[in-house]
Amino acid sequence: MSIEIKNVTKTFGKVRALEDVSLIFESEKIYGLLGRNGAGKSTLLNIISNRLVKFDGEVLIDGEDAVENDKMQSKVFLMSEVDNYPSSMKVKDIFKWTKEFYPDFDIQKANGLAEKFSLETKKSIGALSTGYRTIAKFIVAIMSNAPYTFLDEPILGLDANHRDLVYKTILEQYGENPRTIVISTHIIEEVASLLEDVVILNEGRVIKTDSVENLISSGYGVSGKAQDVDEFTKDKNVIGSDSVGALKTAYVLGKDNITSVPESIEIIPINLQKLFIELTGEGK
Amino acid sequence: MKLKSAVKYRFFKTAKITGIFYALMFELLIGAFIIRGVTRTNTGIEDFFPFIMYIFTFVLGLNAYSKELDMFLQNGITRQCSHYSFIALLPINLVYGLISTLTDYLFFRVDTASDPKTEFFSSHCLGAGFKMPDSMISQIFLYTVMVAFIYTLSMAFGYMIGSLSRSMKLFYKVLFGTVLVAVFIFFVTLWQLYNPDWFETIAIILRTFFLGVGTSPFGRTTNFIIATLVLSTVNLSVAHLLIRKSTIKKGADKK
Amino acid sequence: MKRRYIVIPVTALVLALLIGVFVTVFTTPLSAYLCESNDYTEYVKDDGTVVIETNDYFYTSKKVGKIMQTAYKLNPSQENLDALVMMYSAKLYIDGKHRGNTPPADYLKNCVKYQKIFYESEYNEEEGMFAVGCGDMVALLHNVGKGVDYAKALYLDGQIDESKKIMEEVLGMITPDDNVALTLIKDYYYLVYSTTESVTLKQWVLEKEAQLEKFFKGNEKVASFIEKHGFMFSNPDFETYIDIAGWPDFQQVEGEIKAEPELDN
Repeated sequence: MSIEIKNVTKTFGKVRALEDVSLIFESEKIYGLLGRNGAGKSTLLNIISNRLVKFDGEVLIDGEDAVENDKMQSKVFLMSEVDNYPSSMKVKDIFKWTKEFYPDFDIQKANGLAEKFSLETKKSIGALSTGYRTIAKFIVAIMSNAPYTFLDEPILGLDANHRDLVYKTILEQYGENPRTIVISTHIIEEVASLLEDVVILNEGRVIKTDSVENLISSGYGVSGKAQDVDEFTKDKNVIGSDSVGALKTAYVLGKDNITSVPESIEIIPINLQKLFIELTGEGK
Repeated sequence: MKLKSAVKYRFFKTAKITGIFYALMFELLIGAFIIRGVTRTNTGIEDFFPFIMYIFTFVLGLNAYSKELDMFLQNGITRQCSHYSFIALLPINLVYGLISTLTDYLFFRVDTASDPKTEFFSSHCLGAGFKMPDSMISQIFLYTVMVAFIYTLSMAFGYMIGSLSRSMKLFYKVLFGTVLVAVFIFFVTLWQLYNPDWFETIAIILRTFFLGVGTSPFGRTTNFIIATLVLSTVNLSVAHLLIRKSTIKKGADKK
Repeated sequence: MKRRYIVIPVTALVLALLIGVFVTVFTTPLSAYLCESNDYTEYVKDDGTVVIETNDYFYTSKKVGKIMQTAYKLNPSQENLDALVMMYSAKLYIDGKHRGNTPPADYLKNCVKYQKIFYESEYNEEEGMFAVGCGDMVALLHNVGKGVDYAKALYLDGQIDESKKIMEEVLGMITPDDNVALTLIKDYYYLVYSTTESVTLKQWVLEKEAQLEKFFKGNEKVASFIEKHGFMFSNPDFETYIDIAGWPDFQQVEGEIKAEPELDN
């Protein structure tokens, strides 16, 4: 039970949005689909959810071709950045119709969640602010209980409180009803703690796919006086660095066996955001 | 297939729009009826009513393609399902046909020189040798069926135009529309000025295609139904070919 | 994209177009053509002269004759036959020739062919272009009419003996009470008498006239007609024939009708 993406390539005119992308989204896991703007995240999600059908390669959901497959698409729900609901449609009607199309959609819980977010369900979706529109779409997505739930930028336009509520809701719902949840975002720091696995896209290609744990433990930071840091890291795989005055932090990729560390420098763990930035920086 | 859900959605949307439309129309018709009762002259709305219905069904078809497709794709409904759900909705035109016929009988029979139904039946070539059925039930039935199929064709045509519109970039839409208008004006001018023989041949072939056999009103109605179904199928097939590649309207090209 | 997603719409499209063509061809009598009667139009110019513009009476047979014949071969229905019979008729031939229209080469042959089929066919009086009301008299007149039209076509085609034979069959349909049938029957004898240059044939018509006067002896209406006009239907004076039959002036020359326009000013 998984979504398999096999050698998917998608071009828009002369632009290659995805190039030979192959990966697997296994069941009952929370994934992060990370990438810079224009990396191809939304394109990939649109392909999986049958919104784009003209591409090279194959997408299989539970072993069946996903393209124009009602049965398989009923297992997929994509919350996308753009609004595909009629702008005059009220939120409560969106709930009602989602229930019609996704029978596992929990209207009661959705209404409860809307209350928590202070979302007025009698308002039309077009009349909501950007943030509340995101909230409405997020509620629909998370309460759809679809086995493969994709959230494309679920915190777009949300304040800190609402963002926190979103993360909590994701974990709660995942706990109650384990399924595959894929969070596509370029705001990594906050969402990193939710993620089990990560897929990093850059310029249409998959550059990294691994568990968060493995990724974080795949590197480390070396912090201290610039001279000492350079000396320590001269024979190591440095993927990036930050400098403030005479101080420097270098980011090293590789599980080196560090035995002796000079007193003037410190070994610090590398965080996902930093790793992401360094992996997807200019010229990478 | 989630066909049942898709049809249900389309039905509710259509019912809502239909309700609003008929509420407005009947206000107009009642007003016209009262005015006619007082002044004993036609108000003009009687002649216009059939065309309003053709335009209404055309617009319904037009909107049925694009607006619903986004909603369906958002909710895991495939393009095929979207298309077939529209086809499943087409029988609603029988209801529209019946309402049109009853409207005609209620509003237009009384004290008018002509009414849409009489015009419809007694037009030149439809009338040539065409025997009007005697019983009112037969008349109502025939008129209902014939207009219902015209509405079906109109709706299918609107749906096809919707599919073309969605598949074309703005430049090509403008170009297509311009070419269409230009061709239309060219043919009308040609007809007015020269009235070439082949025009008549085309007109007659079209009349034959639609009206076919003999004098039996039921025979002609059957032919008419077949003709409108043929044209509707052509429109729906074109739309079906286009919907296969249709992407979600907004954001599909956002990388 | 799976292949079936193109197969279904393409198949539907092709089928629809085929059905459309089939329906148009198969069900044609192209009866709409016949809505437009090819009559002459007359108007008065400012200077008082009357101008007659004649349309081509053979327009329909020239335009769609072949199509109609093909349609009839594919579907020998009553409606298709009706259209052919209206398109290829003796009256149309004579009217057209009189106006100077040129008939298609095979016109008379087709006339004979389809009038024969029409004459020999079982006809449903309540349907088709020539729908008639109920009643035995009307049905009789219809059958008489078919026979007379066929006989006229045969005559014009030069098949004199065959035309005579058909007229004998037609006369066999009527009784002395069926004076109304004479209105149709006389048309044949008028045509023969006023167009033939054969003395023998003219004599034959006169003999027929005498025969029928005897046949209708007890019929008051016929008697009154003869008293009024002085004859049954043989008309030594062609002008009088024209007045009664309402036909234009023409003469038969060597088996062909030569049109002599009557209405030139």
